[in-house]
Amino acid sequence: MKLNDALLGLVVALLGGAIVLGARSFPQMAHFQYGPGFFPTLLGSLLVASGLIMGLRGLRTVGRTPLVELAAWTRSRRHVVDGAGVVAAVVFYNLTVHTLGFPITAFLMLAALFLRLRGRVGEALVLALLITLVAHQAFVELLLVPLPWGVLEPFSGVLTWR
Amino acid sequence: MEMMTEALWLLLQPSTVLVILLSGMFGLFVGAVPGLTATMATALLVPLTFYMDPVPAIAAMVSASAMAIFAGDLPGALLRMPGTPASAAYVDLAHRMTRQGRAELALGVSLVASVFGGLVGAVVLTLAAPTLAEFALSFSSYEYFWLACLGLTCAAFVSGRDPLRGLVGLVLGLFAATIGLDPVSGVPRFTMGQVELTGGLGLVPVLIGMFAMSEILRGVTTLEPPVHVHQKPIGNVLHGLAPVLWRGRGPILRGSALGTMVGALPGVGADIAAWISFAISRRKHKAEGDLQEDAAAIGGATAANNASLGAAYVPATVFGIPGDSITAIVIGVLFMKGLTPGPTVFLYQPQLIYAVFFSFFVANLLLLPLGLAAIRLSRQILAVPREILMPAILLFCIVGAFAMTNTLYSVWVMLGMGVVAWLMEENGVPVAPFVLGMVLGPMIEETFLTSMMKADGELAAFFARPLAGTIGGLTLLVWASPVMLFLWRRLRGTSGVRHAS
Repeated sequence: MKLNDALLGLVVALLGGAIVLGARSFPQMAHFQYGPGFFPTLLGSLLVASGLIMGLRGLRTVGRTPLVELAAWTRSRRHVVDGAGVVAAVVFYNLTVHTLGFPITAFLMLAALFLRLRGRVGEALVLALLITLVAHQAFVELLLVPLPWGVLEPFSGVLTWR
Repeated sequence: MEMMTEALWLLLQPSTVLVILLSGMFGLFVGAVPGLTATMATALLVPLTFYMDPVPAIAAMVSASAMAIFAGDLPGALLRMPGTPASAAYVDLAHRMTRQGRAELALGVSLVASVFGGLVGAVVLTLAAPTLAEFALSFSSYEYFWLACLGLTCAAFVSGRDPLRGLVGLVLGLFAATIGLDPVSGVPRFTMGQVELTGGLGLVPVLIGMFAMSEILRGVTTLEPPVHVHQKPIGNVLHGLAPVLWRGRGPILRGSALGTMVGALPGVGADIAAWISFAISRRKHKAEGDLQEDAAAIGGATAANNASLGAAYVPATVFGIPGDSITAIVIGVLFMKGLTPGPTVFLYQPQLIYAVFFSFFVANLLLLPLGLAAIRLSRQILAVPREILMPAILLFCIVGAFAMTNTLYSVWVMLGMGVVAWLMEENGVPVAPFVLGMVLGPMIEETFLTSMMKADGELAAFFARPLAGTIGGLTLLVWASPVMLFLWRRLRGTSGVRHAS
């Protein structure tokens, strides 16, 4: 999603303005003029200035180039769904990992992605299982990352080597 | 001398050597796959280094990045696709040699010149950094403030074709660093009432999101067809290599020297080093198609990108100012390990810093046998389908982000920053200045505030010390240069403002 310079400049300037506004609410310090709001205010102002310059520069091209230019892949339904699928996979992981546990969630997430991207059921299941096992071994057994067990909690003792 | 042996002892522990070996193989693989960069290899290693001692942690990153930069040449020569941006300069030439049936020569020159360039960078790093560090001991917060400003400015101005977009990327990164508790007053800033945000965004989820998650998004949405290697098996790359290298020694030496200089500049990385070296070789010998000259040009450029890697650690270890996005990650890791980069590290923990320097030698020497193996296996490496790699990397991104804080909040940050980085790149706003800004933001703010407290709010104090005044003046000059360029062009009546740089 490529924005025209005029629009991108406006977005940057608005963001800068919001930062400056947010920084105004920070408490002042006694006897020292550079409080917690000083640095963010400076950064916000820089963004406003850069955004305005970019916007003015872009105004000359308004009308000649579209305001929002969508990349070529956005016209391919398959690629749009693939991209959204990756984001959805992370969201799915975050929402379910505490209930289902890491092994089940990771397996489901990977299997769905492989199925979507490669379209072969058997391959997707085998690959998802293998990669989940490797990740589990590496992070839980070797590096001791406390990945959630979820519904597998009662079996966690059987499923580890430790 | 005793310290040197201690450093070597630290580095040559069996477990450390194993870490270097494994991360080297990892780097070779990531670098060889088009679309996966050396920076991504380093970012993905961060969660693993969390569980290591400082020396193996940094050595792992050194090894992975050095190998990845070389491995980027493999798909460059075989598929005309750079494996990492640093190889982009000479893919056309390398691929032409492959089509002429000289893939062995192109890859052989790449490998040996990479090792040579890497070793030159390592020598310069080992010799220059301690000397500079002694000098840097006399620096106060004023000098550090200006140095950080100068480093960030370089990063913003050279990272893309539009300095203004570079500046926007940088300021966004500086802003991202302010999220969380203010270091001086302890006031929460931009946390929007979220308890998790008081600790800041967290460097690791941001790095993984911006360098790995965004690549995955690009990888699954790219319209480029999957790659197919039609190359015949690769023969002995060392056969007949020595005379070609000897006759190409000029460009290779020049590339190594150039890469070292470019690499030491903050914000300028391996890709730019390779471009400059390649451009010089081409300008000297315009006649294309001469095998010897082509090989020499590739050698010079590939020596430059490997040399720049080591040199980037000079400002990183001496001043804590990253030379490129890889060292920005390394600095983040050093902080996590409780090692504040700066001249005092050379005073109090010289054995640690020398062990890091020596790891460059070990990694580059290991590059020779591992690189030969990678060339042998390149057909198999390149045959791994993108659609299998991307979901697997995604899982490691998720677990890697989670492992730092053991909360899902980091995974959300990783996802969010991945989308932000992807949007930024779509709009030509470079990501590297963002990361440099995020690493250096706290340093700039703190040095500014402590300087102001010392000077009672007197801004003139930033120019009161001769050294600070000099660096400060230089920085102001660099800041003013776009405006002056703009005015100059206006006065001359030309309208080339868009690409002023």
